[in-house]
Amino acid sequence: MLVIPVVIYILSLLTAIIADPNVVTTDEAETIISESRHTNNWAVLVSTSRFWFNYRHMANVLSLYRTVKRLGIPDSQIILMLSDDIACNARNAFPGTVFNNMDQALDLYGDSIEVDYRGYEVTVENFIRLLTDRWDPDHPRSKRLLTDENSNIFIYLTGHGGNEFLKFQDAEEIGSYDIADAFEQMHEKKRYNEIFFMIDTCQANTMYERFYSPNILAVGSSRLDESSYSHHSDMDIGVAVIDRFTYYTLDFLEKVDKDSKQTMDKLFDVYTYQNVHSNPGIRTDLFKRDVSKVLITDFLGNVQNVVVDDVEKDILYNANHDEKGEVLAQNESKPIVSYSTIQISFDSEDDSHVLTELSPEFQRLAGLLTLLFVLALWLTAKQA
Amino acid sequence: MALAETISRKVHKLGLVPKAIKLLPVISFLLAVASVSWLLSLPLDGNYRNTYISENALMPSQVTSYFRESEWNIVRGYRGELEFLEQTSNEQRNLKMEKWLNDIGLVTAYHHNGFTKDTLYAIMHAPRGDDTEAMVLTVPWITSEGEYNLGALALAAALARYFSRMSIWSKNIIFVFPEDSHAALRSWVAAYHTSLENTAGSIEAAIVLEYGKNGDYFDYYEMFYEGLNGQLPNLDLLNTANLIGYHEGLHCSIQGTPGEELTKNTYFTRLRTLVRGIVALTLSGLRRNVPGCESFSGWQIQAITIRAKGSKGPHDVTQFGRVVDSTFRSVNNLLEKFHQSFFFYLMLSSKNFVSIATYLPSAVFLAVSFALSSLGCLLNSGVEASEFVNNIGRLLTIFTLIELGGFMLSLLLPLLTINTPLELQDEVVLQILLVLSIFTFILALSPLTLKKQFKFFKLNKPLTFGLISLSLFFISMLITTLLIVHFSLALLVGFLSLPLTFVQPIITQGLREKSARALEEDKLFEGSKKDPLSQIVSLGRADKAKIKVSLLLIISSPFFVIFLAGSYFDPENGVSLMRGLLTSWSELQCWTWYVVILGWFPAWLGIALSCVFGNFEVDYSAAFNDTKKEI
Repeated sequence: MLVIPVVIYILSLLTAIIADPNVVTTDEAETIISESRHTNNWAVLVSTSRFWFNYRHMANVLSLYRTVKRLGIPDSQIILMLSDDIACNARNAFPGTVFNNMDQALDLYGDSIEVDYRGYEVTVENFIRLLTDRWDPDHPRSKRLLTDENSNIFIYLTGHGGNEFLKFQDAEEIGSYDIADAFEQMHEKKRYNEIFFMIDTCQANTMYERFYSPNILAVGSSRLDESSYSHHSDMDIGVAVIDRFTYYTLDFLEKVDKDSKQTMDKLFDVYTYQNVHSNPGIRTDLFKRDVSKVLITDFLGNVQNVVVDDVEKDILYNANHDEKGEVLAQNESKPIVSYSTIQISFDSEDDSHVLTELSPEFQRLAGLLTLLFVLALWLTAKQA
Repeated sequence: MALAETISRKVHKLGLVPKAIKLLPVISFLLAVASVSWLLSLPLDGNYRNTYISENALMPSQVTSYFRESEWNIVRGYRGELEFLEQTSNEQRNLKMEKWLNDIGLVTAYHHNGFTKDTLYAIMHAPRGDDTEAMVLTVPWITSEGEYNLGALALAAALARYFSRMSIWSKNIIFVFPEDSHAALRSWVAAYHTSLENTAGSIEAAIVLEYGKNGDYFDYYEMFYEGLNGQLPNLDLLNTANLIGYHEGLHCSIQGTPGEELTKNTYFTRLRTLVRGIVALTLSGLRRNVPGCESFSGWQIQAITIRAKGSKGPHDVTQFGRVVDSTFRSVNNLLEKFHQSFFFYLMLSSKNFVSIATYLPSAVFLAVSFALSSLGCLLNSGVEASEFVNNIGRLLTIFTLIELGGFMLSLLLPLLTINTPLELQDEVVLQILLVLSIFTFILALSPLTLKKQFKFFKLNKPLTFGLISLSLFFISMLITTLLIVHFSLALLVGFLSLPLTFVQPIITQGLREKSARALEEDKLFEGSKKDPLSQIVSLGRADKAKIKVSLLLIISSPFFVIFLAGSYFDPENGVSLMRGLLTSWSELQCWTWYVVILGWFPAWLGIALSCVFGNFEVDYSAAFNDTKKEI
C-alpha cells in the first residue's frame, strides 16, 4: 500500500525537476559563489621592448588585448602598456595598423584601442607601482589597477628576457624577485583573489620561479637557457609578426567565447614542444584549485558565477498595482527620505526555503514518506 | 721562492742567458716564421668563423622586393635613353638625369669640385622619416674599369622612381652621380660633410653600383669593401648584402675570385682570398681604378661596391636592383649606426671570416721578432753598454736627421707630383721613382764596392750597431702602432723589411769567420809560404757576406718593392703605384705614403747607412779567445 504514495512522490519530484532544470538550492548557490569568490576581472598586458624589429611583441600584446576585450573585460579594467608606437612607425608599410598574422585579416590596432601606458611610460617603476598601486594622489584612476580581494587578474608580459630578468625599453630590467615581491605586496594588501601570470620571453620560466604568494597560476614560454621563437614573418611588413607561444595561445583562445566552459588544462595542452619549439612551463603549486576545473573565462573573460533568483513574472507590475489591477498611488508620493538601506545577507535563516514551490504540508508528508520508503527498503534489503 | 731559485740556479749553471743572447737572431727568425705560419693556419677549419648577422634590427631578406618584371621595363626604357648619352658631354648627361629625378620629385643639386666635372646628386627625403639620417646610392658615370656605367645608371633611375613610391623610408636616400668613383666621389663625400648646402643628415651606409654594358643579364656579382687607411665597413653590411644576394640565388665574388670557383671553398681558395684581401687593403686607394667604396672612409659611413660580372648568366638586371632595394630596406630598419658586428676582420670567402683577435698575433709575432733582432744587435755587438749610452746623443741626432730627410721627401715629392699637369704626372713620378731607386741601389751596393779609404765619413762601432738596432726597433714600433689600425699595412711592411733583421748577424758572422781564417792563415804562414790561391778564396768568402748584405738591402728597400709591386699590379704602367702613393693623400686622404716614407724608409736608410759607413771590426782578442776555446 505504501507503493502508491512513494510513486506519487517520486513522480512529483521528477516533474518539478523537469519543469525547472535550473533549480538551485540556496546552499548550492552559496557554494557556487564561495568557490569562485571573484567578482571582477582585470587584465594587465605589457609589451616591454622598443624598436621596429620588435613589432611582434606589440602584436602579441595587442592580440591578447583583443581577446580579453572580446571575452568581456571592459577597457576600464584593462591596463595596456605598449612600449613603442609601431603602428605609426615610419617603417610600417601599413600605417596605423598592427597585424599578428601574414594574412592581415585582423587589424589589431583598429578603432577602439585604449593604451594606458605608452612608449617611455612603460618602465619597471610604473609597472611595479601599477601592481602595488602606490601612486601620487593625482595619478589618474584610469591608469590604476583598482583591484580588490575579489579580483581575478590576468597578467601578460612579453619582451626580451633572460635568466630571471625581463628587459624594459632597452634601458632597464625587472627581476624575478621584483615581481614576486610585488605580488606578495598585492596579496598583503588584498589586491587580488587569483592571478593568472603569463609570460612570453626567452627563458621565461625563470621569471615565475620566485613567486611565493598564494593563488597564482603561472605559465611561461621557455625554460632556462632556452629562446622563445617567433612564429612567422610578414614579407610585406618585413618583420616577424607574432611569437610561437602567443600564436598557439591565441589559436586556442579564438575558439573560446564568453560562455565557453573550456578549462585551463585544455589551454595548457597546446603548449607542446612541437608547437612552441621551446619547453613551456606551468606552475600550479601556489594555486589552490585544480586547473582542470578552472575556466578560461575566470581570467580572460569577465564572467562571474551568479545565481539567478526565480522571481514572479511582471514583478514591477505587481509591485505597483493591486490585485484588481489598479495603480498604487502611494509609491509615487513616497518621500525620498523614506528610502532606507536594505540589509542583504546570505546568512539569513529566514529565507531558507526550497526554490521550488511546495506547500509545507506536502513537504512534511513527502519527508515522512521518504523516511518510510527508505526504512522499508532497508528492512527488505536486510531480509534478503 | 724555492722554485724560482732552482730555476734561476739552473739557468746560471747551464749558462742559458749568454746562449739565449747568442741565439737571439735565430729566435727572432723563428718568430717571423711563426708569424707566417699563424697566417697560413687561419684558413684551416676551426680557425675561421662563418659570417652571421649580428644586428637584430637589420632583418635582411625578410621583406618582399617588388622591383621585378614591371620595373624591368622601366630599366630598359632608361637604358635606351642613356645609350644616346654615352657620346655626349658630362653636362648634358647630368641635365638629362637631373630632369628624370626632378620628374620623380627629388631635390637635385650639383657639387662643383673644381678639378674635374661636376657631381650631380639628388635627395629623396623620407616621407615619414625624421630626416636626420641617409643612405647613399652612388653610380659613377664611368666604372672603375673605364666602361660607361650604362646598366647601373638605368638601374639607379628606375630605383629612384621605385623608392619614391614607397612610404616605408625612415632614412633619406641620396643618389650621387660622380664622373668617376675616385677623387670626384671623395671630394663630394668631403663636401657633403663640410660645405654642401643640400644635405640629408648623417650617412649610415653607401652602395656604389657598377653595371657596365652587360645588358639585361649577368652571371654573378663582385663585391669590394676595402676602405682607406685600413678601415673596413662593418661586417654586418657585407653580410646583409651577401645574404640578400644568396636569397636571390646570386653568387658573390670577393677578392677577384673567378666565376667558376665561386662554389668552391677549400683551404687554398680561402688562403688566396685572405692573402689577396691583405694586399688589397694595403693598396686600397693607391690605384687609379678604385671601386669607389673607399671614398666614404673616415666619415663613419659603411660602404660597399657591387659590380655585375658577365652578360650571359641566369640572373637579370632587376635582381641586381633587388639586392640594392633589400639592402636599403635592411639599413632602413636600423635604429643606431652600424656597431654590432666587426670593423676589423679578414674575409676568407663571402661566408667565412677571421676577426681581429684571431689574426692579430701574426703581426704581434712580427713586431716581437724585430724587437728581439734589435736587442740581439745590441747584445751581440761586443760593445759595452756604457759606450752606447755615451753615444746616444749622436745616435739620436743621426736618426732625427734621417727622419727629417724623410719628412722633407714626404712633403716635397707629392707637391712636385700634384703641381705638374695631369698628362705629365706619370713622367714626373717615373723620374722620382728612378732617382730614388738609383739612390737605393748605390747605397745598397756601396758596402760591396766602396773601399775603406773612400769612406769620407765613418761611424764608430757603438753608433753603427746602435743605428741598426734603433732602426729595427723603429720598425717594431711601427708595426705595433699600425697593428690594429691598419693590420695589412703593418704586416706587409714587416714582411718586406724582414731581410733587414739578417743584416747585422750576417756581417758579424762574416767578420768572425774572416778573423778566424786570418788567425788560421797566420798559423799556416808560419809553416809555409802564403798560397795566392787561398788568398783569393778567402777574399771571395769575405765578400760573400757583403754580397748578401747588398742583396738584403735591395730587396727590402721600399722603392724597389714599390717598383716591383707597381709593375706586377699594373704591367702597362709600372709607376702607377708610386703615383698613387704620392697623390693619394691629397686626393683621398690615404696616409700609406707617410707610413712608407716616415716609417719604413728611415729604418731602411738607417741600416743601409750603417752598412756603408759603419765599423763592424770585431774585437780580435775576443775572436781569438773564441777560436781558442773552440780549438
